[in-house]
Amino acid sequence: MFTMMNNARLGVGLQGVAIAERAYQQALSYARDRRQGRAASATEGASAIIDHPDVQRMLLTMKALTGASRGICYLTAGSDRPRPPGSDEAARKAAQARASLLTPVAKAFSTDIGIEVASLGIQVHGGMGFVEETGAAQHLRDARIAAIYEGTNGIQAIDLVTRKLPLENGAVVRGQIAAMRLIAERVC
Amino acid sequence: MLKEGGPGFGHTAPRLRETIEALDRATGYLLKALGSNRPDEALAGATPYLRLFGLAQGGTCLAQAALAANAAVKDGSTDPAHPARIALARFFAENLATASRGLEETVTGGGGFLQDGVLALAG
Repeated sequence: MFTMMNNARLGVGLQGVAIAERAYQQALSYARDRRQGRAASATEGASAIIDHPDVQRMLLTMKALTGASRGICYLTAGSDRPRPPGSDEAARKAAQARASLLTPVAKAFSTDIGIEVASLGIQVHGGMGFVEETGAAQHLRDARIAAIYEGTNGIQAIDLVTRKLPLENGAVVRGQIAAMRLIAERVC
Repeated sequence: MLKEGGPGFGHTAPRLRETIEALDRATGYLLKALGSNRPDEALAGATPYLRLFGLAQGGTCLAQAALAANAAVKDGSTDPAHPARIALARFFAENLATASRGLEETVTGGGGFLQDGVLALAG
């Protein structure tokens, strides 16, 4: 039963990623076409709104949050994949523990950012995002349920803190943090 | 350990490390609260902790992609997707992961509302 539940949670997390991705792509396309105001670096005429720093910030925030949550979901999925008979038992158990730890994060973080990114997408569109014409508002409506069903994000947080952090007396979460450190240490 | 990167990475390294260490400290606090029979303190910080975890893990995933992109560029690839991945990891670390210290403070020091927060809801 828990295998099915964890798979469903990951699936909903990926819904957050997917809605965020389409909201971002649409906002990017709109920002490249829509002209309003003159960017600080422009000398004449109306600039495409993508030339304004605040719009760049919104689009970069959308893309970065989407990419980060996609990474978390893929990491979770890769940890949870079935392993062939005869695979190293210790490695299999470690991967399952990692998947258990990451599943509530994949679900809740990805759906929270799905809502944030869809909302930013409306903001990029301005008034055209608020009305139905562009479809930007539909992305937010689509995203909003994902933070609620398959276990609300508050429940995911409770699961993470009260059930997943204490796994193996904290060894699983400390191992995951150590793995993050290994990657961070490579960056100069 | 051989470090990789370049000017395109900006302040990715220190911001990412700060985020991971903030997660580590918040984790220690919560494990202690759970082990000391103070579950409400742990529950009060659960949602901001999950956000902090997402920032640390997500930022690490983006950094890993940036390192792979950097290696591809060093091997001679001219695909514009590679500098794009490096720039994205940098933006995340320098602009979004910076919330990590505030989230750590919220997890470890924001539970006071359990005592008298309901007073604020009365008026």
